[in-house]
Amino acid sequence: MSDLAVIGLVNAAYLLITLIIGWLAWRRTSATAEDYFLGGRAAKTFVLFMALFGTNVTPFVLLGIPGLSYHHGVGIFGLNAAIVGLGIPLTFWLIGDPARRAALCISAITPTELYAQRFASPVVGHLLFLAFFAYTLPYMVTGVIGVGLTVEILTRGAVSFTAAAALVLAITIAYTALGGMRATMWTNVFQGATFMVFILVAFFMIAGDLGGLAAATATVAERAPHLLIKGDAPQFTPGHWGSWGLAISLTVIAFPHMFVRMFAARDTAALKNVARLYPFMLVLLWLPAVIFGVWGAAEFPGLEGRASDGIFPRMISAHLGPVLQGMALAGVLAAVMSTLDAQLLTLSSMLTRDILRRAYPNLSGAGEVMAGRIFTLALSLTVLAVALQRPASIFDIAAFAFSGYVTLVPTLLLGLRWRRCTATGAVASILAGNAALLLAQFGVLPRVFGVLPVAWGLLAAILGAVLGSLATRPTDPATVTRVLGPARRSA
Amino acid sequence: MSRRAHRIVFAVLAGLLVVLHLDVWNHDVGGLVFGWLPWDLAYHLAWMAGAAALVWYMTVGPWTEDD
Repeated sequence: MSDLAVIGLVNAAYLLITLIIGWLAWRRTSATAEDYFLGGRAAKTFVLFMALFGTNVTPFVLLGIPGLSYHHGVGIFGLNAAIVGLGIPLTFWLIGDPARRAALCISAITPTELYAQRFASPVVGHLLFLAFFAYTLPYMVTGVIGVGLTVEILTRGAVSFTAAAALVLAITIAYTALGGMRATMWTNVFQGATFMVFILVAFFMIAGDLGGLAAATATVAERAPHLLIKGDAPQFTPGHWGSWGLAISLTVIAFPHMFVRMFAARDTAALKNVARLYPFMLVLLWLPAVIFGVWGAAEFPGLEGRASDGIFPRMISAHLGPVLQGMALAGVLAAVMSTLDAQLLTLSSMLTRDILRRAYPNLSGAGEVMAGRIFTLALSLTVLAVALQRPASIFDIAAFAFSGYVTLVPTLLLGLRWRRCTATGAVASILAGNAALLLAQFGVLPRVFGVLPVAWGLLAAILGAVLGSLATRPTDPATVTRVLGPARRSA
Repeated sequence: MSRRAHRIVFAVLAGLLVVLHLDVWNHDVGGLVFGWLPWDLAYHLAWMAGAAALVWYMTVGPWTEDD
């Protein structure tokens, strides 16, 4: 049997199992919007963790990070992975848990619905929807590019970028549209296990093929010693380092597809357990990802710019047999699909709940679900069209999206933790944050001390929220209490 | 310890970790740990061990069920 056939068989098995899980979830899903979009709010620790982690891990980690460490070395681990080990769990506490409780209190299904009710302002909901949509679309594109690249390299061009991208979207649509949140969470367990097991196996097998961990590092020390230290690259200057650390820590909770999974948690205990597990699993995933890029730079020198996004599949192709190459592809597919499904479901739920339902108040629950499925299809076609253009490297596209999400964090946080925060404050925060981000991206605002544009966006968003709130009358206390519960004094 | 005290302790420890994360003193430090792990990676792995411990404390101290 040819290598290509083996790779194809392994992936056919992976896709079949995913579809079967999606079908089983569909059989358990009722036609209510709460069950379809949130899986009945019943996720316990294990499923919740795998759903969050699976959703969080994308080709940004599996392909973008090796591609970046190929150029900039081991410092990429500290720049990206370390700080999120603290930052993500912190946002689960400060934003995720109160959001879960508030959503349960008012039966909200989407983040935009929650904040529209908290501020008694549909405008806040619509603005959040626009921002979520604007930043999630490019982030989805990175996933599809990742699949196309990996398939193209591992099948030596036998399966084209376009065919691979279209196929992964079609299968994701199939199980997401049918089974909703329950299908995406159940498949995320399988998908998360697939890419975690694969990356650890690949790490040790490639190290073995390179003569062991010490020999692999020695080769890098000989051919590209600058990759074993941070040095003075711009990424590692304090301004860049600090502002990127802030961005990557805060951005994850503002992914709408992560935020909505907070609503699916059964209770606070489940969220706490997820927070405890997060740092450990980040190490297991990110350490190999960074080291693959560094080893790859010694073995395949000379890749320029976004070409380094393909270094992970190149290493797999060079060092592993066809079965493991097939598993590598399944691992990348799993990472992509576990995020794409959540993104599709969340955006479609926001469109149906927050836009369509306002326009058609008598829309039935079944009608909402059907509209969500149609929107999922339209969104997928848009993502495919953009991905085929390959507008930039995976890391650059993701960095753009991450910066945008960060401008929403002050609204998400203060809306839950500061009762004085008003609709005007939220609107000012979103508008000012995004305006400042754009001005900084285009160089109108200076890069003081080397900080990234995201720092300007965050600062403006905080100022907008605080000043806008203090300048306007407080939200009706009854409205705030209905969403957040009664105010209490700190013990 | 009161919830307020837990929060103060957590904030101080988190601030300390953030300072340690900005490791400008490590930029040109070479050398390997265990014969294969570059010093910079080893430092940030150790940092993550500290972060994991702090996250654990966060879930048992300042983060209460009715928070």
